Parts: sequence; C-alpha cells; structure tokens
Amino acid sequence: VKPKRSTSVTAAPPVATVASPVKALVAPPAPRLQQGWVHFWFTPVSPVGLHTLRVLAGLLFIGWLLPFAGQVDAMFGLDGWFDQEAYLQASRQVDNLPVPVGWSLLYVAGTNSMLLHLLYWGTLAVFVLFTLGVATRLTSVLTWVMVVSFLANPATRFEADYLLGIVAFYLMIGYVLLGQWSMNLSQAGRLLGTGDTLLWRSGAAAGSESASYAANLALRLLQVHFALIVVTSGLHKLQFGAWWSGVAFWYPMHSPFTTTESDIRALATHRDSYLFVLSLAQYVVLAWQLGFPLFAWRQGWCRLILVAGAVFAWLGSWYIYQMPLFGPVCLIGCLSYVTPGEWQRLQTRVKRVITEALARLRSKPGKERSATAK
Amino acid sequence: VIVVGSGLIAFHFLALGVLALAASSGPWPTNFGSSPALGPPFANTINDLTARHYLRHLHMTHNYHFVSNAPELPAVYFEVRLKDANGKVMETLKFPDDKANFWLRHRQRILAQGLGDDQPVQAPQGEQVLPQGQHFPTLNVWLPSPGDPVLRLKTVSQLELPKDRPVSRPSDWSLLLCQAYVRHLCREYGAASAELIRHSRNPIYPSILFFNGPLPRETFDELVCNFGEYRP
Repeated sequence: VKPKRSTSVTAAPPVATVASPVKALVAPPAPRLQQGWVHFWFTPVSPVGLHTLRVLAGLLFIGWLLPFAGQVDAMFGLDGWFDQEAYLQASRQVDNLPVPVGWSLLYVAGTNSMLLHLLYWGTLAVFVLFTLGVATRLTSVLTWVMVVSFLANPATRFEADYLLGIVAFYLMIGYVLLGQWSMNLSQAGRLLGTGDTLLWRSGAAAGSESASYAANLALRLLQVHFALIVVTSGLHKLQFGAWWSGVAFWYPMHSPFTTTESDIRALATHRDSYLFVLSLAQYVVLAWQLGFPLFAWRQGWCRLILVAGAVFAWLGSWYIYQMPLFGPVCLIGCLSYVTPGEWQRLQTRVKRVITEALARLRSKPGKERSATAK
Repeated sequence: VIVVGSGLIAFHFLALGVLALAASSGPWPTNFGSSPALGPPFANTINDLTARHYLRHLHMTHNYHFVSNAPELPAVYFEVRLKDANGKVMETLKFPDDKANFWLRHRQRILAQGLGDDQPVQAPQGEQVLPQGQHFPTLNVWLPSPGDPVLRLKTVSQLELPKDRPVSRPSDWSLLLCQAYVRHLCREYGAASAELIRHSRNPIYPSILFFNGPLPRETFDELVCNFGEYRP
C-alpha cells in the first residue's frame, strides 16, 4: 500500500494548509472559535502517537486478561461468580443496580465451558495481533468488542476496567478510519488496515507514513474524555471531608484488619511529620487532577508535570490502594497528549542511545582481544 | 464531513458530560441527618435518554465517581462454610484468599466490598395505624440474637424495628451477589448448602494518633454478620 503523500508530518500544520476535503469546507475563513474547533479536531497528524498508544494499550489488555487464565469459568462463565440466575434477578431490578449490566459476546457461550475457553484464548490472540499491528482495522474492532464483553460481569468488575473500554473504543475509531482519506488503499487495505501499523515494519516505512485525520480524531477524543474523567474524579473527591482535611490516604494505608496497636503507637511518635507529608501528597494529587486541563495540552515543562503525575498515580494506586489497573490506564491517558513531534524526537533519541550502546558493546570484545594479544 | 463529525463529537461529549453531572452527590448535612443530593434535573432528563439509548451500548455509563474516592469505607472479608446434605461443614473458605494470586485476590476484594454495602433503615416514628386487613411491610434487617454477638438477617415487620439503636440491612445488590457466589461455590465444591459470614471493621480514624492513653476499645471491633444458609 502506497501512501498518497509521502509526508512525514511531525506536527499539526495550520488549517490553511490542510488538504481537501477539509480545506474546501473550511474556506472562506471562519470565525476564530470555529477555526480553533476545526484545527483541534480535523487536522491531520502523523499516526506515531496512535501506534504507540496501541502497543501500550494492547500490552495492558493482555496483562489485564491473562492472569484470569485459571479462573475463566468462575470469572466470566454463566456458572461462575455471577450466574445465569443472578443475571435474571438483576434484570428485574435494573434501576437499583450499582453497576449496569450490558451486552456481552460471552453470553453466547452460556454455560458451555469449552466455548468460553475458546473465546477467552481467541480474545488473547486478537489482543496480541492488535498489539503487533496486524490487520488493525479488524483487530481494533474485535479488541473493543472483546474488552467490553469481558467487562460485562458486574460481580467481578473493577472501576478501572471501564477505562479500558474507553481506551479500546477510541483506538478502534482511530484504526477503523486510519488511511481511508489520506491513502490509496487496495480493497484488502480498506478492510483490514494498512501495513504501516505493523510493529516490525522497517525504519524507512515507519518514517514515511502520511498524516492522518483519523489519528488526530482518535487521540483528541481520548484526550478530552480523559481530561473529563480526571477532573470529575477530582471534583468528586471534594465531596468528602477526608480529602479536605488531608487524611484521605490514611484510610487505605491503614486497613483496620492489618493495622495493629503497635503500628499506631510507632506512628504516633512522629505523627506531625507523617500527617504533614501525607496531607501534602494528597493535596498535590488534588491539584494535579483539578488543574489537569491547564497543563495537559501544553508542551515543555508541562510535559514533566503530566508524565511525572501519571507515574506517581501508577505507583500511588498500586502502593496505597493496591489497585493494579488505574495506574497503567492513567499513564496511557496522559501519553495521549504527547504530540507526534515529541514522539518522533523521543524515538530518535532512544534509537541513538541503543545504537551507541550496541556500538560500545561491539567495540569492547575487540579491545579486549587486542589487549590479550599484547 | 466537518459538520457531521462536529455534531457527533458534540453529542458524544454532551452525553458524557451530563452523565457526570447527573450523578448524585454527597451525603450532605441536612436538618434530618446526612443525605445524598440528586443531580440537576436538566442533566437527569438528558442523561435518561443518552445513557439508555447511547452510552449503555458503548459500555460507557460509569460517571467517574469512583468508589475509591470515598476514603472512609469499612474493610470487609467474608468466609463461606460449605455443608454436605447432612448439614455438616465440609470446608470453610475465606475471601479474599491469602493464597490466591494478586489479580484474583483483587477481584475477591471487590466482591467482599460489594457485600459490605449496608443501608440504614429508618424505623417509623410515632403511632402507626393501618386500615383493617392491611399489614405493615416486612424488611430483611441485621439483628442480634440474645447471647450471640453475630448479627443475623431476620425478616421483621416495620413495627418491630428497634427504635433505641441504628438498624441496617444489606442492599439488594449485596444479597444478589451473596446468593450468586454461594451458588457458584456449592456447584464448584459439590456442597449441598453454604453459609456466608461477613466480617467487617470500621476504618481507623487518624485522630487515634493523638490518643495518649490506651486506645478506645471499639478501635478494632469487628462486626460479624451472617447472611444465612443458601441452597443452590
């Protein structure tokens, strides 16, 4: 599949230079707000960011589903934790359910364990293909369908699971539309996806991808949705006194079943400094969440705030809340704001470091041999 | 393309925005005790349509009011006593299971937390009179038996609710979860029946660090609630 334009766009071009069909619709010059809207949503960018998020999200989907390999029937089957009878009872009290029960392909398997296992391992295979970039037009759709299908069980569903569905949904939009406008594709390319998405594509091919409206749209959708989640969650925290008084982290860190009297006595000896650090850390988290839209779209030093915040969110959610999924999803959400130019600079830097390290490794044995000969 | 695309984007984020706005908030202090507040009516009205007909199909109905944002939740674990046909205990299982892998234990913890969602029950105030032939509604509430510290689920008339202490009941959702999980365990272990017992403790408040004397007795008090015996 040959791209129509061999541009390796690294940053969004101004609206005036946008190719048709957008250009025709933008002219004559629209008011500023309208122009800003069009520039934000409908500007083609290099899909490098979309591909990077796909690989990271794919690894996360695999890491999320694989640990349940020994518990497939119990976790997802209709004879499992939430059985057929429970679904029937739940359907009678739809309005009182804390978690909605939605559609799922797994219902097709019913109580057939073999079919359920087939769906489970088939899903993992789809996740692997999607991560590798094989037939992404198809595997992205299957990935989303299977992610939300495996989320359907309300008894085992964890809140961060919802975020997986969101990431999968926007990646699907990106890959279903990728290249449909900007590339001359064969019939197979239109149905299955472009070869440019393959993880093992050559360096030359990797650099020659045409700018894509779909890549921008998918990333923008994810960015806005993620900002909405972060801010809403931050505002929700303000409804609890513990967040105002700076002790919200205290509770998950001191579970009543694991904390002993001697733990409390030991903490009491340096309680002032302990509560100072705890409350400060908690307020930093609140400030990061509530101020998120102010720095998420900015480059430069703001990138450090964005990525460092995501990394701390990962460590914190693991250590304080013992939640394995929130952190990685948060990191993927934050990385969606990184521009194609930044990704390409990062790629170049990583490649240079690896090349230099390899060259150093190759030269070492040679030096050692010559030293031995001397 | 741009007009249609813009319309779809605006609709999508309108649906997500009102979903977040329509969430109930609180509990807030009121003259009658603390109470949650409903979302604004305009958001509820729009959300009724968009969530039901659009977001539900995309599995995007979470309103980002995460449970983990509420820090003062009780800690919960539960045990299940599996019994044979003669009522003899075959095995007692504890959840979250310390021997399970981290990921599975995490899901078991979510299930346990789901079982701990008790609802306060308000006893009717004043004299209650009903027309002849009608009966007061009955409720499933946690009540102690004489000489037994374990609370058991008992069905009582609204009139019999104790007025001298707070009374609570398991939510319909936790009862549903409990019965489904017990049925699953009975099938898996070939048990004739099973009894689910929930253990919970209230959170330890940070103010405890400022106690100079002995810690208050209720700091580590455990509430034990028996959901009763279920047969698959």
